Amino acid sequence: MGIEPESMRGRAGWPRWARGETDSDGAPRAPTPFAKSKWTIGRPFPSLPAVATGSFDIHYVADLARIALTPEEEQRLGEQLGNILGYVEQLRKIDVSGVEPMSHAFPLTNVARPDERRPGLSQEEALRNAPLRSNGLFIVPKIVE
Amino acid sequence: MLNRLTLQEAAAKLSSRHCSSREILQACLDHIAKVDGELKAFLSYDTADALAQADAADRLLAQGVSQQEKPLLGVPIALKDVLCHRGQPCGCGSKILSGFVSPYDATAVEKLKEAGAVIFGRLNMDEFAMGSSTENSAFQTTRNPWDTARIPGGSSGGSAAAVAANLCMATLGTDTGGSIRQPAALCGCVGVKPTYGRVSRYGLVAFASSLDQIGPFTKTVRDAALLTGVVSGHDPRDSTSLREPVPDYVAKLGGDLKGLRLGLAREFMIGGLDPEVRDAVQAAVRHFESLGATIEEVSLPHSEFAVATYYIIATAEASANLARFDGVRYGQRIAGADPTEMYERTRGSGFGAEVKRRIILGTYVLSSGYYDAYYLRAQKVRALISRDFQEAFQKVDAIVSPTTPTAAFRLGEKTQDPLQMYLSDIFTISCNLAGISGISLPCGFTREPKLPIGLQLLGRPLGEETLFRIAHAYEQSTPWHRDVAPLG
Repeated sequence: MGIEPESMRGRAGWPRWARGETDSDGAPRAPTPFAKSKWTIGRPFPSLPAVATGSFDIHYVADLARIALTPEEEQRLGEQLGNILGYVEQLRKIDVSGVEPMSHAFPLTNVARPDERRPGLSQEEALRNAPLRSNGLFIVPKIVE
Repeated sequence: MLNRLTLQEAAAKLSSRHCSSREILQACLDHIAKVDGELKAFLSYDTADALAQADAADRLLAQGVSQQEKPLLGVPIALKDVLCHRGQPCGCGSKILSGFVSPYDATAVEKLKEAGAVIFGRLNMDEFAMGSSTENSAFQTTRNPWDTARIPGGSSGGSAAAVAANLCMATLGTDTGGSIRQPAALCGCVGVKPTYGRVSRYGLVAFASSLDQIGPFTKTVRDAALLTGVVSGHDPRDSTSLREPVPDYVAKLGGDLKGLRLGLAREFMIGGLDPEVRDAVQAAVRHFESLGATIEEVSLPHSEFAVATYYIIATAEASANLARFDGVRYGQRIAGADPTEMYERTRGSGFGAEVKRRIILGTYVLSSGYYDAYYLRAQKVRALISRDFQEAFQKVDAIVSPTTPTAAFRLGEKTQDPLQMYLSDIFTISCNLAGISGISLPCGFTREPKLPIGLQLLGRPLGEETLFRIAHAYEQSTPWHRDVAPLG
């Protein structure tokens, strides 16, 4: 006895491949420019490229991310991030012309729940974890002069 | 030795009244007291609350409530510190959330409660699930129960170690790039990464929202099938959860593997795979053939780019998700003269090095002038990785690979080089990018020292049923799951 088909088979709206159907109608395929590309996990790992990109300004980006770094952290993280950016440079080798970007695994769009009243957290529960509170409010530093 | 029971065995003993839920929980607590000082899987646990839950379960059992109604009735299950459990701490292994108490239950936790489980304990993890060894926890370093000089894997290292060391019957973890399957493999238990959207993410503290999934760690495949079924299903509170019925995974177990086609990705068997891991996986492949499956070679040509793609997409999403930790509404706050200074000091002091590294990388790849070069390109490569699987699943029903390139590595071995750490997830990451289902189960041991080796099976979206049947047939005809870790 073989395995039964997955529940998704035959479901409209799902990609054909997800339903386990074979692709015989010449549906568009991904280009495979590096079909013979080598798997580089071995030899052992330390031989990976460590290309510094040069353009990476750690101070500026940490500021955008609202993270205060010590000078030592800036130095160390900056180097490590340079290496990681060097590693991801490999994506430039791939021909992505005509490929639609994928932001999500499945075609779900415009998902909304019914617009109904429902219980939420009480004020006490919502404020319970606040670092600073007063009169039922979160207290923050002065924002407007 | 009640703590060594599987979910299935515990349920049978409870329903036949051979033991009580309190006795099982006490056996777990005793074993925790004995070994967790060394193992450090639990960040905290609430003994009084757990005993009260166990007593409540015992009362229901005395009233004749059956496991048909509540399949986990009276069974202790623990949670990764990233899942909200009302009234209990949820710290995500981070200083920035120290003192946080969950105001509500995650949907998965709600479902465990409905199923009657005794939920106790917060399990250690890499901070905000970012890491592959659990060494990025702000609080403690969890050890591997097979060799305490080694890491348990990560990011759900506490969840894996707790099951492998028989500290509880089963646990929940989360998997964004391998964080369930990799530690399951390194600790020698079963771990499932369900299809994206199979399990609601409501109440899971988000890392990378398009990749995160909750899944179980168990001692057997049958238990994994049971627990996956319990936590799965559509949830209106998670707009990405799938409106698909949940099969009775346990009922569908059994039968042979005749007619089943398994794919071996040629890209996964080349290069510096550890020879003992390679041999174990090749032996497993021969074993599948003896069970009636046919083996075909498939190609996943873009999988070599999966790690690079992942570290752009996951960090981009993380930089947005972790913006909420600003010291205003919860968690730690470091005062500043104005809000910006407060944010910067709070985040600079509250986040650990790996989390800072990823937020900054994610901020950079989304920043003006770099978005197209990094983020948009990575999204396109993600589509190509997904299409590789489309093509492979036209030929085969599941894909077999090692879960990890090596067995558990030593504590500290990869902490100085983040890129090396990232590469330990090389076989698991593409599954999350494509949103498909995956499972890891034990397939052997290295010789000296004796460390577990994990086998990964990847399936179609909602292909869990097939994965469980294949994994169950393999497990039931091999001895690996019966070995107990030295700290077990």
